Amino acid sequence: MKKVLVLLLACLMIFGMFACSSTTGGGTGSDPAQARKDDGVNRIGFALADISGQAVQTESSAFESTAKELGFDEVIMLSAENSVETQITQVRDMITSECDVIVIYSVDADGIVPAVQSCNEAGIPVIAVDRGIKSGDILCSIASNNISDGRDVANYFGTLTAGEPEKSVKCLHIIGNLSSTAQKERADGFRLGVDSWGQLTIVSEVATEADADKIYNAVVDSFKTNPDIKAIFVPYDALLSPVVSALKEIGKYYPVGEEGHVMLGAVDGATEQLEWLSQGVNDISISLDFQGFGAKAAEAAWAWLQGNSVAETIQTISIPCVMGNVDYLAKNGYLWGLSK
Amino acid sequence: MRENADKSRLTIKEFALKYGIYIGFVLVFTVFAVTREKFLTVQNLINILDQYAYFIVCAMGMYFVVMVGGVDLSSGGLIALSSVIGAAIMTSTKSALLGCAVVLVMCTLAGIINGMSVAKLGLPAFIATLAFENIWRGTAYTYTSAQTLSGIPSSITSLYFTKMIGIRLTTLIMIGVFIILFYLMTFTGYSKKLYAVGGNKEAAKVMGIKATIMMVSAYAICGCCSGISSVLLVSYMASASASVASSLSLDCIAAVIIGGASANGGEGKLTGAVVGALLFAMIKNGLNLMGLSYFYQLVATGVIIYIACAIDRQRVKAGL
Repeated sequence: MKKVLVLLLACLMIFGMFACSSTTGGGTGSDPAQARKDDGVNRIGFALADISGQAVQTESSAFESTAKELGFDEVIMLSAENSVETQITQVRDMITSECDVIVIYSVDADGIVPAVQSCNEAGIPVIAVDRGIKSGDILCSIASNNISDGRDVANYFGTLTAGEPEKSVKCLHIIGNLSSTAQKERADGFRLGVDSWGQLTIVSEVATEADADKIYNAVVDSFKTNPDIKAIFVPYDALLSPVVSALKEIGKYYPVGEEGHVMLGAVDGATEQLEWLSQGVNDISISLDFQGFGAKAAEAAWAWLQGNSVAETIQTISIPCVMGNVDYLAKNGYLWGLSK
Repeated sequence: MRENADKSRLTIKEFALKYGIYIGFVLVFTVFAVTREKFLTVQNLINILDQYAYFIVCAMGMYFVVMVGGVDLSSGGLIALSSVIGAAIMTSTKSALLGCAVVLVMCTLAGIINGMSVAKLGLPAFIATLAFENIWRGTAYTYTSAQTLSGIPSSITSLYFTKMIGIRLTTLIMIGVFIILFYLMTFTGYSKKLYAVGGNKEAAKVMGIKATIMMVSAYAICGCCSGISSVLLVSYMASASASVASSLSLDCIAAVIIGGASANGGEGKLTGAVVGALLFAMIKNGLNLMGLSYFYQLVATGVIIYIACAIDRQRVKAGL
């Protein structure tokens, strides 16, 4: 009986293959380029590295609403949850879905290249958003300068502590997701910035996989080894909450301006962290243009579909937010995290 | 005579319990075929095999470990470490063959270490292999400084990009591995010993079966399959990274259980494991084509694993 069922399954697969062979134009059908044809539907795919967090939610919502407003009939959005192999598979599935344009917010700038090459073979333009892609034909890259974003945080720490003795300002560097190119670049930028200020020194770099528990423990443990840590950098805002909790737990939390305050800096410009700036919890948050990432990617895709030219690089503006400017920037609508 | 015939005839419930995986496969296939036009295309069905060849090979290896009542949570980490070491050898020596040989030997040895830890030292499989998962992955991250290694020789990437009779070489390798393992399980005495050890280790020893050797061999096969899977993955990704295959071990265990293998060992077919892995791959592909978010995919796979385990329990209770 089981053999009969196995045979039936095999027949079903084979039947499926042959029954639908007419839809692939009669070729071998396994080449995406051969299979691609215009079905009259404007379809756009967005391959996201992950979908958790306020920033990426803002980016994907802006992308979806802009794409629909512009006239895309179908918007496919898939999240790879920071797995390169999953993202490659998802992009190749988008080719199968006959997307007209594929937008990639890549898990890994190197790792995603084979998927980009598959898109190139299939004649589907690729737009890289938020994070760069190392090679392959990219129609347009939309991103902030992650290295500069990380460096700006270090520079702010440096400015606040100018005049302090050499290597006296000890910094703790929390590393989030090791597979994320953006975080690697922010980390590189932070290190570059620290190196340019004599008084700053990184005493510990802890990989936490962006896990709140691990971040909390990393802060607690680091202060055991180095009780006089003066500054903490995390690669994105969402990771700041467990840092603050840990500082409170070990009695090291003092608001900005108070004796013993530990400087806190991050990148993204999420709502909670921008509000914290006014309350003196943290010192700096670099606000990236996540709405712009999503909207500009959809606009570039639509422009290409309409036969218009598209800029090769679109650099978005990052805004360093501190206690002194956050209210002004929010009032004037410069911050996605505090927009109504 | 007629009584015997009635006994051999299954009720609908028994039939559903016994062949649930195959019914589920047909059901899921049909649902995707009807709801998603792009699903039922030659290109897509071949894509499923192409894209998940490494996963199916790894699941086949996991099947052997599950058969002896164990689990191997280190497969993902081992694939990550072996892929970066293999890639480094390939890029520095320009010899794909040497890189592949090192990967296969290394992974088989790692499998033997796992097997010895469980069978000889008596460590719980869950703990021992979880420890090695951390060791392998941590070493991979240290070795690469979390950087992706690219520049893989074309002789390796061509495994994915070259086709024979319309099928990619990676898929043909997966089919080749299946044939070898199917032969091992069907035409040699190996499967009987494996089932005996998985069913009752002490009873197997009394029967004169060298249980330790059987267990180590099962882990070694699993390690070897992880090595092959590693080569296929490097070929698929044209790069190597320490972060790959993070949930692969659990997915493979799930595929094997979905395929009808008993989580306690001693029961299950290799074909079931392959169908389980294919079902897994098909669901991911179908949901991707539907554009459903990763969160829904997690829910869907969770529900399927739960149902598969529930069916397995009912099947055992019914003595089928």
